[in-house]
Amino acid sequence: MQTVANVVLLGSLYLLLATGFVLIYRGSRVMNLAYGDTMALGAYVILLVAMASHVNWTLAVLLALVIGVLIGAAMYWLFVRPVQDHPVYVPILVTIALGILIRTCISLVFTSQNRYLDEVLQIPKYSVSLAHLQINFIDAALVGTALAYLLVVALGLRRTSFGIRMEAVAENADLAALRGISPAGVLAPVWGIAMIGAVLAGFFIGVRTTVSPDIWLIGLKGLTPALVGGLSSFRGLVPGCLLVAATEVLTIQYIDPVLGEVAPFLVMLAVLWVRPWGLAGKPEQIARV
Amino acid sequence: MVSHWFQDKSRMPAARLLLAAAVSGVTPVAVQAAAQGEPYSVGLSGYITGPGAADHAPSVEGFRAYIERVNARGGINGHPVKLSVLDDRAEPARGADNARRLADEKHHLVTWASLSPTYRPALASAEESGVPLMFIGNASCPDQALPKPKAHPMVFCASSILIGPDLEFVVQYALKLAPFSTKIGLLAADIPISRFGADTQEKQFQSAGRQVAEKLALPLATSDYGPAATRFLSAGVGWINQWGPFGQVVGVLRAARSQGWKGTLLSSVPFENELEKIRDDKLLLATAVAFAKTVKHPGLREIEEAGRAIGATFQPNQLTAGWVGGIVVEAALKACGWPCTPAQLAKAMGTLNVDTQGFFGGPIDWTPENHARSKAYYQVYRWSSEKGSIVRELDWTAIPIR
Amino acid sequence: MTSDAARPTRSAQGSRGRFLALWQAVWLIAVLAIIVAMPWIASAFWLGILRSCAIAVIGALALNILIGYTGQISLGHGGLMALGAFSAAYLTNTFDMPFVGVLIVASALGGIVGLIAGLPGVRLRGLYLAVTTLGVHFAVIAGATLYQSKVAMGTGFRIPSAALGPWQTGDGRVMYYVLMLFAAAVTVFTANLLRSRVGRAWIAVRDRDLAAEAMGVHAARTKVEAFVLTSALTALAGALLAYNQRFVSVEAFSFSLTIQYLAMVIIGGMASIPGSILGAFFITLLPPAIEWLVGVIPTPDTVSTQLFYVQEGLFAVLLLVFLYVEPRGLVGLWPRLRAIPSRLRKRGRLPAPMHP
Repeated sequence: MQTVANVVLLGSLYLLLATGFVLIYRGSRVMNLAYGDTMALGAYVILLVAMASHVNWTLAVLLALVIGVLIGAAMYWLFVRPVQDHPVYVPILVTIALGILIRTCISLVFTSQNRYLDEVLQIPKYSVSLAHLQINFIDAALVGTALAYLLVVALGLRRTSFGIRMEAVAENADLAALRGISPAGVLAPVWGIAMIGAVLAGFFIGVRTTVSPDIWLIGLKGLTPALVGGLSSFRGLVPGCLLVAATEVLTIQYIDPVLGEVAPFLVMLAVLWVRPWGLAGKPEQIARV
Repeated sequence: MVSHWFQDKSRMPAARLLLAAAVSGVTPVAVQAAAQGEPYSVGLSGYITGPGAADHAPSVEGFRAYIERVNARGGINGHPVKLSVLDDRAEPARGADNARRLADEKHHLVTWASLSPTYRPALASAEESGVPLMFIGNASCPDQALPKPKAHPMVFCASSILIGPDLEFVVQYALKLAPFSTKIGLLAADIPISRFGADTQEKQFQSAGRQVAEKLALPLATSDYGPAATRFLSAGVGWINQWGPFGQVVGVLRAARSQGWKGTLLSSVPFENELEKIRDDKLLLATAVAFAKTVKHPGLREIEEAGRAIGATFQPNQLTAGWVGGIVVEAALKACGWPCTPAQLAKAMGTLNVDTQGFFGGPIDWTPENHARSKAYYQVYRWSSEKGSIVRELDWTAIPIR
Repeated sequence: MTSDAARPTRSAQGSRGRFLALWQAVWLIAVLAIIVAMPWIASAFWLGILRSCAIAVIGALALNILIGYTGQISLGHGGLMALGAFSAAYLTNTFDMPFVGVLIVASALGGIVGLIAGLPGVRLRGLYLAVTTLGVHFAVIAGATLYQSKVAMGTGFRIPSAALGPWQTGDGRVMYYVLMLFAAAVTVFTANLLRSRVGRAWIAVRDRDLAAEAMGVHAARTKVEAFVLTSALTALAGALLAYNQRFVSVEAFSFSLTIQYLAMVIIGGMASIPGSILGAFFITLLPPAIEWLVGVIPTPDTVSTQLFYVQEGLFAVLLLVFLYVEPRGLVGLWPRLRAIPSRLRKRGRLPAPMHP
């Protein structure tokens, strides 16, 4: 029973990361490899806000989310937009370089010291007992937030006019521009919204374990479920995240924790080998040759 | 005072941002304030940056702070000490590079404050170049400094971690405090020294008639400690001994507690400030370095001032292990006199006896056979929610070095 | 190099033809003389750096084959080098295999991994090979970590000095020549490859894969071929690295290594052999150069203790600058700089456009 809970919790963490990642990819066809670093940045921004102002923790998180959205939009506008029509690897390398810069600044300013978000934020420690399980307030919040984020993003794309515009830009940016939709005007907010997932993931990681400059590696692990599910598909996210989380948790619990590190990547390679567009992705990327 | 504002934890990152912006390359790298004349030359390779550097970078700062203060007060035997500090990020390749460079730089003494994977090139270099090598801070003492049967003439240890006695202590303490019916668990990291610690403890528990119900070695970059905690809970573990980096202590403890675990975790990482933040009554920290803030150590103010002088980024009570390294280096160089050759220094160090001023439990007393100390001393601390502060569970307890 | 027709530089003409101009021959001989004489001029420290440069050249040329000429990207370079290095560790420690044998087996292993990883993503455009190679990287690294912790108690593997005739690879000078020879060989091999039918096919696929198909070039197959070759050469570089460092440990092969090689190719100049060589030297020499600079210019203490971050930060900034400002890299920069005086003279005339 606890095992199931572990899978759901880890899957939710991956879901937060993967949703933002897929959003960026679907919208702008860019693999944002700075995602792990923006997650770390989100955690540190929350830390900074909390340490500087001693506000209520929900306010601190909200403030950090706003800042995160602005950072995401700025990242797109300033750094990605100029190279969007360049060959496909250029934006990836730009995000990689940005990630390095973010990491470097974080390490220089905050040092490698471990920080504890729940202590700084004074998060309340409620928990309820439910069917042999202790359900922690934060853990429940993690699952709820992850699902809510996914729903908002996925439904938002389908129902709102902004979402439709984003899909238009994603499908054919030139055509969209002809119709008066500015690609940059759509994509900047998209990157901003994607950053929400990163900041939230950073928050939960910081509260459940520690905040240190190395948590960017965990953020990068969020890439695997996104790929398994299908880089451009929201529908594949939940199965993808659950599959990867289950593999990892079961490997750690029943085989060996060190092997648990490798397992997600092996799953990813297996899926890519058999179905390169992921479990639920569309085979749209097949070259016509 | 402006300086106190910088030291205030809650303002630290913001303050450092400002400081970084304000200071603009005016301070020269090697400050030789009051001391004049030809310097003693000391090299250092340390784990300054990188994941887990938080365990060792403060020692480097503590050491630098002490040397700075020595120079500010006129040096040793009237000569300043020139430090050459290199970062090895606990990577063997960088450790090898650093060892080679420090050998080229021809120092009187080479100090080392990093992890054991970097030791091999350092030890080889000490042998080839004939320059004494001293391990300081929270580095672990290599066998070459211990009487097994005789210490290597060039290898010395003034650091806080002695693997054998440390493990012996935590096993003995667990055996004493965990009732016989309580199942024991072992937690380590997937790095050699940590795995070795877990395996050694397992053997010691078994020879004392206690079975180890679960033994785990976790990768360093674990994203979620839930599954690991579940393993301990399913095995019915009531007491966990941990020997490795601190990050996993918090992760496993938090996850275990949220899964309803009520047991005790004994860790061997001397992190006073962490104990204050985690506030778990059943988290015990065994340490060979006194928790200076809790015991209100009188030397803390001096460390604070010296730390400020070098722009230290860590808290004064985190610099203590490195500070002791400085004390020992000063005593060694003083004993050597001037002029001093590496060979003379090694000889003088063979019979050095240094008072650690209460930071360690006893003196660093070297003999030609034993370049670590005759006895290792330990204390145990925990957080007490009823007192609202850290309390010392156990005062200095000695384990002789055989 | 499709830009040659557009670039009216003498060096381009020189590399086109079989015979070099006199001044080029003089340059070449001078450079060769310096390279040969280095072990007696340079200190052990700088010689070690030059050895690293030679290995970087091999790795950069390998990556350049893939990115520059087939337009595909690999994010698994670090993993492939780890594969080569750990193969060397395994083969020398378990079978005591001689130097040449190890290199052959390591390269072959690299090629096989390249085949396995390349096949699925080949029909897909753009990012899917990148993504697969990223997975390969992490899988190899995780596997190597496992291997290292179970077999070598996590500390890493020593590579004993191998015999090469009367010499030993453990000798710094010997290894220097060995590495320089390999670097030269790979350079010549790559240059010839691109002149051959195979190479021209690759360029055709890169530029216009539909048209190439129409002309009988099988796009998917050429991409796989290129990736297999890249992987084999990268594994070779990794094995050489193992012999050079005489020590193999998994931390040396992080994702940062992959990024460094990407930077070498980008900053040096893609689809350009001199570019890859330049980029390899540039990126390898950058950290020691920064360290030297920091030692010479007065800086706050923080900079020297946090040197690693300063190096990383500058590296990232440099990469960004080249990505935005000079996508043609250092080799593109040179004609631009040389053109400045003439541009100043002939105001209003733009330099020759580069084929994208």
